[in-house]
This record gives sequence, C-alpha cells and structure tokens, in this order.
Amino acid sequence: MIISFILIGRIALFSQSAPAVDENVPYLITFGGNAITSWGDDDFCQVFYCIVPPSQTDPVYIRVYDPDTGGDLDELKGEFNTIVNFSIYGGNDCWSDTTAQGLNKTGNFKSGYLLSSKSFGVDPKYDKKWYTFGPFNPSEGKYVDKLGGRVFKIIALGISGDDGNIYKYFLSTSPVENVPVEGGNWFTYEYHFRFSDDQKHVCQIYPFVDDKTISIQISNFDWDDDGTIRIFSVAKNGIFCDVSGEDNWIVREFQIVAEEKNSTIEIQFTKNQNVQVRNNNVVIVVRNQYGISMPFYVVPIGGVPVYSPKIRMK
Amino acid sequence: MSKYHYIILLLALFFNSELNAQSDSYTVVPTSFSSRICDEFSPVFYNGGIVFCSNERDNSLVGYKDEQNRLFKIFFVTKKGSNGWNHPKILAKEITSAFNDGPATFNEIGNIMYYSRNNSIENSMRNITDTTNKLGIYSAELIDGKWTNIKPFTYNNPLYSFCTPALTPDGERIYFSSDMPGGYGGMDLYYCDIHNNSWDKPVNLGPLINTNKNESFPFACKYGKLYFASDGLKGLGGKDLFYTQQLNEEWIIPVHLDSAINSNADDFGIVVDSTLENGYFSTNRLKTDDIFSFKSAPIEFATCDSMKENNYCFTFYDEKQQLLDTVKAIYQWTFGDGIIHVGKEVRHCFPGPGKYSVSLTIIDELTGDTIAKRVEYKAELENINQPYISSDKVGKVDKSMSFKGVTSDLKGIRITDFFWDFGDGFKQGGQSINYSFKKRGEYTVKLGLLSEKDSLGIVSKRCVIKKIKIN
Repeated sequence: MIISFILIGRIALFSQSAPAVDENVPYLITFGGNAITSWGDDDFCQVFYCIVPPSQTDPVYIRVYDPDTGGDLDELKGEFNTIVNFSIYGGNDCWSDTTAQGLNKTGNFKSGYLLSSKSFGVDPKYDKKWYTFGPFNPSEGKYVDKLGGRVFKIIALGISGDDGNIYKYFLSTSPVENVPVEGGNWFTYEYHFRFSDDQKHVCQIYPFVDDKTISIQISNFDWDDDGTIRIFSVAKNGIFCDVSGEDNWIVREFQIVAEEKNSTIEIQFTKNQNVQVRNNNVVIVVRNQYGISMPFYVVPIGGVPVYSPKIRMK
Repeated sequence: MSKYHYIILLLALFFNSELNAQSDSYTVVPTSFSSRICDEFSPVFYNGGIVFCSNERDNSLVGYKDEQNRLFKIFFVTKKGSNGWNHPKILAKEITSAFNDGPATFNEIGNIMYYSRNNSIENSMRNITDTTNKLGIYSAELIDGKWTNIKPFTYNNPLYSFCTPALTPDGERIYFSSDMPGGYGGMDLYYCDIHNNSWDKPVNLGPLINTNKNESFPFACKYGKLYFASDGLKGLGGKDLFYTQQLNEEWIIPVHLDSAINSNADDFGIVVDSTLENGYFSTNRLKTDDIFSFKSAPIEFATCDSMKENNYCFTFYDEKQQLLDTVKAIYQWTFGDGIIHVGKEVRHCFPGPGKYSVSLTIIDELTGDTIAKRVEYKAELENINQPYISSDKVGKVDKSMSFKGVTSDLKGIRITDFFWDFGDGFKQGGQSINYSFKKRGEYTVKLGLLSEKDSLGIVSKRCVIKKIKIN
C-alpha cells in the first residue's frame, strides 16, 4: 500500500526507458545461451517488469532498442551468432507467481499469459533501431495494488550463440516513437547491464527497501574489480560494497535502520580511475534477510535517496 | 519657608508608632547624641564622626527662629572614647543659613559637600507663610578649613524641591529626591552622573523604585547598594527603608530592610559603614526624630558548592556516520564564524552561551558530488544554573585581584545581597570586589548570595567556592 501510494504520488514522472536516464546505466545486456558466464552474464536471461498506471487506458507499446545481436553496439565474441528472444507476458501470474519474482530461471519464471514474442539474431534492420511490441491493452497486464498499476513482464532470453546483446526498453503510448506513459515505471529483480567504458562514468540503480526489511545482501557478479560500488541512502553516505572479480559472485550484507524502511537506497557504480576496463558487464541482486529478492525500480520510489546526517555534539 | 512647610517636604509622613520587635538579624539602639526633645535625622559619616540634621537650638547662630524653633541645621558630632559621643555642634557657620539646611553628603576625602537648603536665604525673605521658597541642592568646597565656593546644583529649579543629595563613594554620581515634573508622583529619586566636571541630566530611577508617593533620603554605599526611604512601597507603615542596586544594568526590586530597622513609624535617612554591617538610621518610633545605630548579625552559609566551569567546546559528529575509514566523504562544518572545519568529527569552541547554527555539508570524495548540503543543527548553549565567581585563578601576593559574582545564570531567583569570604568569614560586599592576599598559598574564595523573598517570605541562600592560588 505504501508503495502504491508513493507511485501514485509520482504520477507525473515520464521516465519510461529502462535503464532510465537518471540511472545513467548505458544499456541492458543478455548473452546468448552458449556464452560463458565470465563475460558478465550469470544466466543469459533478463526479466523486467513494466507498470502501467490505472490512468492509462489506451494501448501501450513495449519498445526495444537494438534488439538484434550484431553491429558495433553489441558485444562480439568471434562472429555474431546469437539469437535472443524477447517475450511479453501479461495475465494474472506474470508477476504474482513466486517464481516470477525469484532469480531462478529454471522454474516457472515465464509465468503469465504470453502476449507477444520475437527472436532476433543478426539483423541490420533492427541494429540501433527500435522494435515495437504491441499494442497491448493495459487490462492485459496484471493489476497489482501494491505496485499501483498493471504489470507486464518482458523476458530477454539468450537462446543460442555467445555474443552479448545490448539493448534497452521503452514503455510508450506510440508504436513509432517513444512517448512515455505518464506515471509508468520499470523494475527488475536481477539487473544485468553493460557498464560504460568511460573511466569517469558513474551510474546508479535503486532497489526499494520495504518495511519488513532489517538487512539486505547485495550480490554482484563479474565486476572485474572495475572501480567501486557504494551504498547511499537516507542513512548511508557511501559505504563501500565489496566488488566481485572475474566470473564470481560476492555478497555483502548491510543493516537497514528504521528510517531506511520503505525507502529507496542507491547502489552507485564508479569506474576504475586507474585501469580502464572495457566491455564490463555486471549483474546485481539485492535480497532481504529472508533471501527474498528485492526490486530495482528505474524510477526510484520516493525519489533519489538523499543522505540526511544526524548531527550530534558531545 | 517655615518649619511647617519643611516638615511637609521631608517629614510630613512620619508618624510615631509602636516599636516593632527586633529581629535576630539586627541590633538597634538609639544613639546618645540623639535627644528626646529635638529632631535629629539623616546621619552621614564625616571625618571620623557623624554629620546630621537637627533642629536643636544653637545659640551661636544669629538666625531667624520660627515660633516652634524647628529650623534644621547641619550638625557634627565626634566620638568620645570608644563608645561615647561629644556634644553635637554646628558643622560650619559659613554654610549655615537662617533657613533650613541639610541633609548633607560628602565625597570620600571629605572636601566636597552637597547639601539641601532653602533656595532663598535672604533675611528679607523670611516669611513663615511663604511656600515658594523651595529646597535646592548646593555644593561647597572645603578650602583652608572653610566651606567656600558655594554653588547651586545645575538642575535646581525654584518651582520644585531638590533635596536629600547622596554622592556615591567615587563621587561620579549623585542621587537626590525631587518633585519636579516627569516623575511618578510625590518625591522621586533621580541620579546624575558626572562627565567633564559637569552633571548629566537627571535620570529618574524608574517605576520599580519610584511610586506615586515619596521616595527620598538616598544613601549610596560602597559596592553600589542604594538605600532609600519610601512611603509608597509596601512596608510596615509610614516611611520604610529599602535598598536596591543595579545588577546587570537593571535595578533590582527594592528590598525591604529587616523589621528591626523598619517599624510602623517613619524610618529613613540611613548610613552604613564599608562592611555594610554597621550604621545609623533615622526613625520617629520614639515620638521625635532620632538617630539609631544598628549592627547586623554575621551571616552564615551552611553549604557551599564547588563551582563548575562552563564548557563551550564540543565535538560535532554525524551520528549516522558509520565510522568506516573507507567512506570517501568529506565532512565540511561551519559554525557561523566563516571558518570551514573538515573532518568526520570536529571540535569547536563557541564564544559563550547563546544560540548557534551549525551547518554540515558532505562531499563525495570520489565524484565531487554533494551528498548532503548544508544540513543545519541548532545548538543552544546555556551556562550552568549556578552563581559564578569570575576571576583569575592565580594571583600574586599583595596584588589586588578582581572578583565578580555573576548571577545571570541563576534561573528563577533574584539576587539582592553579595557576601564574600576570603578566609575570614562572610562579609557583605558588592557584585564586584577587589581583594589582596597577603601570603602565598591556595585559598578558597566563597561567594554567598541572598535572594529576594519569595511568596512565602523566604530568602534563599546560594553559595559557591572557587580555589585561588597565590604565588
């Protein structure tokens, strides 16, 4: 209820791209099913959810930028041979199925009613261009009160090949251009993204901490020691998170204080200033004390957290 | 002016009454030089003796005598032995008029006198029905044993009375009583400060002191205490004696003197010695105006607290700061003095009590972004609720040290009296006092305070001690 209240309160937002502009994350990435995890994708599958607010009754479109795997944007391993499938799901179970909210891609993570699906290989027609899924009647999405709207799921699944498909999404009211859905948002439980090659690059993603959370475990995969990961919130002012090396996960636990409950925290990524790491792909997961994964919203719920120091004198 | 009118001005409100029971604080007795037939009042110390006003006949005067022979002159009486007094005599013929003279006041070395008298002293003016011959204040200078250079006070006005002058011991201020316009009714107390050998304009002591009746007979003693008589302030009846003083530049509410000194008769014209323990005052409790001596009992303070030093230095920190060395954040603190202090914990000393605003800005050391911008913290510093002895902690033998009793931090009570103990018992003094220690060593200085009576008539005592080292 608190989340929906906050979402309704942010109804005027217009950032329906995933990743969002404020995240400063360049692109999402999904490798082909035959890739090796050390290239930065632990499961070759990315699941995102978009939220369409109740006020949106006209059809919506889910657009994918550069859905093919080819050209100079995507990550080449040998020759491009990768096929990635994008599937849109609606219906009752697309989100509410517990497997859907989990991280395991071997169960019923494709829950829900399949609305549309298309696989892309090497296709210059879609290279650095938008492909539009839809139209979708908003009522085809699963209405979730606590999320404040109807939910659609999009799964990017690396079917075959070993290249990295780099792409991004947009939730639009138009099939031919990116027209944001007022009050829309995106979230995921496992964020796979491509980090910038620019050593001055800083990006951040925003998991939401609910009122049941007393601690979080932040896991990152294949960070390649490319700079730092820090945690900001109303109560944390840039605490360093351990970073993973090549092809491994690392987990760091943080306590959640009272004022952080029902708020967004920021995980900030800063590039290595000394050694340039190129083509770095990373996976981030946040779990609560029960091991339940927590959502990253591309538009942070309640806004970007601002550290609020508590000045004391002694 | 006749005796009748003079009495209206100064004594009309005095009534004989029953003597109040003496309290334990004071012992009062009539002086032997005070007659039971004539009137004597307004004693002041002068040259080892006492100068006062009296209507005793003195045959040496060639003056006008009214039908009741009640014109007042300035008399002087000297000590005889350790306890006795010689017969009073006219202080000086050269300042004795054929009308009313006195009361008088002297500077500390006794060569300047201010006194009241009728403005017109020509014999041709003598007319007992004349009410226009008001009292004025006059000054005289003692040169070669003679009071000369008699001058009227700058602000004398023939239409109004100016009387009962009282110089402060340093001669920098004169208090007096007047019914001039602009007061609160009847006779009011005023003062003038002297600058460049001329008196500033009179300043009314204000409604805390002056009433719509009569305030007069001021006496300014050492340490700034001002005694006076009033028949408008709440007392035992008739004129009663009070004292006040300026603390922190404000007059304290007048303190009614002990019931041994005050009675339901008229009590007025008081003088106290430098210890503030002994003195003389005027009263008509025995029908005529008489001068009584008084002696106060030594005051005791059962317990004295060690004085705690006020602290204005504090360490500021961010309670949320995780105190991890790895946090790359620059903490910038400002305290309103224009200086930026950098550090996750910084120490700052404020100049004193007051309200301060502390501001914290946190900069991300890696990105240069602002993590927190000018987060404000309001700090309000209060001194400890205690009397405070302000002085150096270390002094030298035979070198005068200055001590000041700071009472502004005391909440809810008004201080009326200061007592200082430098090792030889409590003695009344002022808010500020100088003292010289005669030997090396460590001393315990005590400051005892009395407050004004509360609603139950109880006087609170507070006492603090301070260690002083004398090298």
